[in-house]
Amino acid sequence: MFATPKSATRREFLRDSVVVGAGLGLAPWQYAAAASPFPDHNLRAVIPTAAGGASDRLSRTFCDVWSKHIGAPTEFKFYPGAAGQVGYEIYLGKNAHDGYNLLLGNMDADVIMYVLQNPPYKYPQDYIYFCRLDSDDNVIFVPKDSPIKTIKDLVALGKKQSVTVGTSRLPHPGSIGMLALAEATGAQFNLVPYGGTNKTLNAVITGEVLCGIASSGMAMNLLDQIRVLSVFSDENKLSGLMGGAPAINKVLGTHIPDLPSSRAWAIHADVLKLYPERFEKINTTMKATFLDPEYQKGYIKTGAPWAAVHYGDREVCAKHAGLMIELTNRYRAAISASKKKA
Amino acid sequence: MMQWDLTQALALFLHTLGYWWVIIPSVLLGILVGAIPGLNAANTIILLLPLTLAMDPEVSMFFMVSLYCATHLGGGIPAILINVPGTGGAAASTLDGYPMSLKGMGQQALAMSFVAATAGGLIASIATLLLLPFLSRIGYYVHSVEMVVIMLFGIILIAAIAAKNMLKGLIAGVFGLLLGSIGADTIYSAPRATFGFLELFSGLPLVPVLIGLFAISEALIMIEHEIVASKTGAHDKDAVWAQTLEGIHMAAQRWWHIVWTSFVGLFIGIIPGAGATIASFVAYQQSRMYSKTPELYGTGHPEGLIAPECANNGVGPGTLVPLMAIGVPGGDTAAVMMIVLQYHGIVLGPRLFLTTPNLAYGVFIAMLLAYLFMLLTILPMTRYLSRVTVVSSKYLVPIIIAFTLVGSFAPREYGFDMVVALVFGILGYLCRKTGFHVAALLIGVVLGPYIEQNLMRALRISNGDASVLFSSTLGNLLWAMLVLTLLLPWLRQWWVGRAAAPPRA
Amino acid sequence: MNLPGNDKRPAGGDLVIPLLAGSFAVYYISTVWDLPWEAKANGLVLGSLLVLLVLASVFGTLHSLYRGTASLSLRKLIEPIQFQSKRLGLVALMIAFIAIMPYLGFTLTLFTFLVLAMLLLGVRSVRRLLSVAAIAALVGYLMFIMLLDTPFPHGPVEALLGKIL
Repeated sequence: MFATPKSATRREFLRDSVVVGAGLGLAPWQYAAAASPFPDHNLRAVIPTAAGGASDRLSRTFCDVWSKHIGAPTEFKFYPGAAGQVGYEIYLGKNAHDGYNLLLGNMDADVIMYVLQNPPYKYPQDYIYFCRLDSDDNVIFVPKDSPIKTIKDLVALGKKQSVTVGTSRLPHPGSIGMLALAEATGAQFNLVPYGGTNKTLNAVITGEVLCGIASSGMAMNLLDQIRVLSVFSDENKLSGLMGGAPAINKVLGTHIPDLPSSRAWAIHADVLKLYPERFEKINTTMKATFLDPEYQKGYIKTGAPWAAVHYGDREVCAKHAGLMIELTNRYRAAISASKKKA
Repeated sequence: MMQWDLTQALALFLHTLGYWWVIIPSVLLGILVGAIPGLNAANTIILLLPLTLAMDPEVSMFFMVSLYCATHLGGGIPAILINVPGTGGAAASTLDGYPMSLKGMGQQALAMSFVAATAGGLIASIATLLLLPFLSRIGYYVHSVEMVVIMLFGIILIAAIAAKNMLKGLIAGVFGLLLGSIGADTIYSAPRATFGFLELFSGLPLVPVLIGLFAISEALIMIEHEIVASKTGAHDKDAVWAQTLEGIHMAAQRWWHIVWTSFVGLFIGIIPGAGATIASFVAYQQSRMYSKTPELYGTGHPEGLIAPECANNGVGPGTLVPLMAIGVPGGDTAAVMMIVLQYHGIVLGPRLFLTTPNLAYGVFIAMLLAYLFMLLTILPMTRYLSRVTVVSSKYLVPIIIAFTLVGSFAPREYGFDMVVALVFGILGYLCRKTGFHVAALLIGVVLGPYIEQNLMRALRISNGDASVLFSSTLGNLLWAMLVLTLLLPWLRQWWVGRAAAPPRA
Repeated sequence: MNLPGNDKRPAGGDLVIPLLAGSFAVYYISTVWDLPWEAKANGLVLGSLLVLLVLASVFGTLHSLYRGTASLSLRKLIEPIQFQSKRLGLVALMIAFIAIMPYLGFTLTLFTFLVLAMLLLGVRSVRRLLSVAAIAALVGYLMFIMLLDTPFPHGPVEALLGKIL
């Protein structure tokens, strides 16, 4: 499964930060321009999270199948840290803008951090998302033995008293969802960040907080410990896997936007102008991968539900990223230490 | 969970024993990985992910668990011999282990630590197997408030370590706490004091800091001596096995110490996010607190080595409790194990004990066997390992520096981390030369983030009401124990003084 | 009580860590000053405490200087002086090790560092220098490159050994 061949070519060393923080080390490959067929060597993917994580597994699963369509394997480099910003800065600052270099980001969370951290790169001028791989809906859940049985119970309680909500981080789509829910219903939610989904799940199950917000992919494995009250998604494709949990807007009559945690491929924006045919090939072959039954087989093996796979093209990605930017600015005061708008 | 009788237990034991061909190589690899600063079970398992994913689920689980346990033991070897902890959990072992090596008792120290480590792991594994339903409930009572108090036990150790010069000790400790607060804050993820480096957004990386403070700074001082062991205590080639037996005997004499410090490790291991580094320092502090001779700690005192080693190895079974009993991993290694098992379609949690008892209980039996095999394989090695203390520093120092710098790169694969190791190496050297204890600095760096995270979380839950810190029964009990800990030296002095006072006429 | 020069306690070195710590505390506080209380409380409390402790330490040293029982000598840091050049040389080698690895690759850099460091520390036997460095570098290669596949930079040695092994 994870047999993506390691490149026999020279590996790139990260940075020598003796002089400055950004350092040196990634010598971009210099190739003759489009004369040779694309691709004529390995593609490279920057993953701004740690090796062994969900993005690692997803990217390898996808690329195992995509490599057959595009005709070259993909090498992976992991740059965790600063909520993804390290990976983006390396990708945008060091990697060649030649169509051979891609990035797989947690689009929603990364865009939120982009808005709040105000990094040196610019979206969408410097990079664009063009192929969404999956869409993991965020869900609200309580411990199995909780007296709170439905989302309406939770909102009713929230109107009487402040309800503690465990969340992975404040700058997170799930947190934004709870803030939107509070705004729409008048309920009071006290978001308590735990620095990770596993710790959040643990805090809810052991009763330190009343409820939690997490991605469905993590929650669905613990349905004998938790009860999912509702899903931040109108489509609610994963309802069956969430014990029949309803879509939040359907139950409450609100108009909260869908707030999934989704992963998407990104590419340097100027590749579309400099190498349009390369981008076209990447785009087309990626789309074809979704229809390849081998991909479905491999994806299911990662433990995630196939229903979470949700191809989104450039327009879909751009629309969703734009929505996250808008929401982040709207709730900036609640999720960030900085009060200035981007 | 499944009820099982002696026959089933024996069958399960024999079934797991059949995987000796996985457990033994994993143990050997784990000891090697643990002994090299920078490598640990989590990043090794990740690097070997293609291998573990290709294995049968039982094989992969036993491989990972055995490797994980063995790294805890392996980390103590360089900690004792050359003051370079291989893992964070072995940092506290340097406090008394290394002074023993300096006195020429490296072999005894190794033997004692191996016995303590394996006994600690065995006790914790057996206790977990027998008490899993009870242990899994601990997580329901230990939350942010309780964690704050538990961490404060570790912080008190700073004062204990710095007893000879309190002001220097406090400066080192508070400096460490502040260094540990570098990076994004718990609530808003706002970066603080990162010097503009993105690599510090998530805080100081622990492994390079550990390597710098202990390994590199020690290497820079080691060049002043020909060998680690002092000339008077140099290796006696004629009595090598006797020294190993002496070490075993020293451990056996302190069996009760081994038992209760193992439980300290087990209980702290159960708490998600706590980890071996915290467990070993808290156990050291507790051991010192209850000792009749606390002034001997830090001079090569056997209990000062046994306590952190037992706790460090007691943590292993503990960290698997939330993973196996609830289905939520308590630490990085458990999280990676979960990924592997999920890939094989295995869902963790209480159901596992009903659907796949061989795997569920087999995990803890594999730990038992791993510790047994560890003892059998590593104990004969003490006479050879301890020879490191008589290797000339002209060879030892370059090797230590080279491999530890390389090890500082391994966890995050950032060249920046090697620079961090170097900077902290220089800082550690300055500390050692001027009487500032590096262990106090390290305790601050390690515990500081945990205290802040848990304190801010507790205050967030209570909307800023500080009385939340005294709102739970267990929390208040821990506070009472903490106050007792602080008052104990004076109480003891008063008691001894009272007992020694002449009777009234 | 003014002691003669050599009897005075060398206190200059004792100020290094406190001054570093104090400077860091001031820097830390400056980075959190505008943040919400949850983000700055910890830093403010610890930073302020550290500054107070540092001031106590500095005051103690100044008091000793005034009384003549201490001097600002840095003897503690630099003695024994015969090892200082070796120490500084090792630090320089470590910097070079980090900077050069992307170009020479892991194994060759490791080998070169070990040779130069042992030479600096006084090993003169060429056979010992080369054999110890070669064995250690090979062990490093087997462990980190072959077994664990840690993504260190590859150089000519990795390319060669990759073909052979």
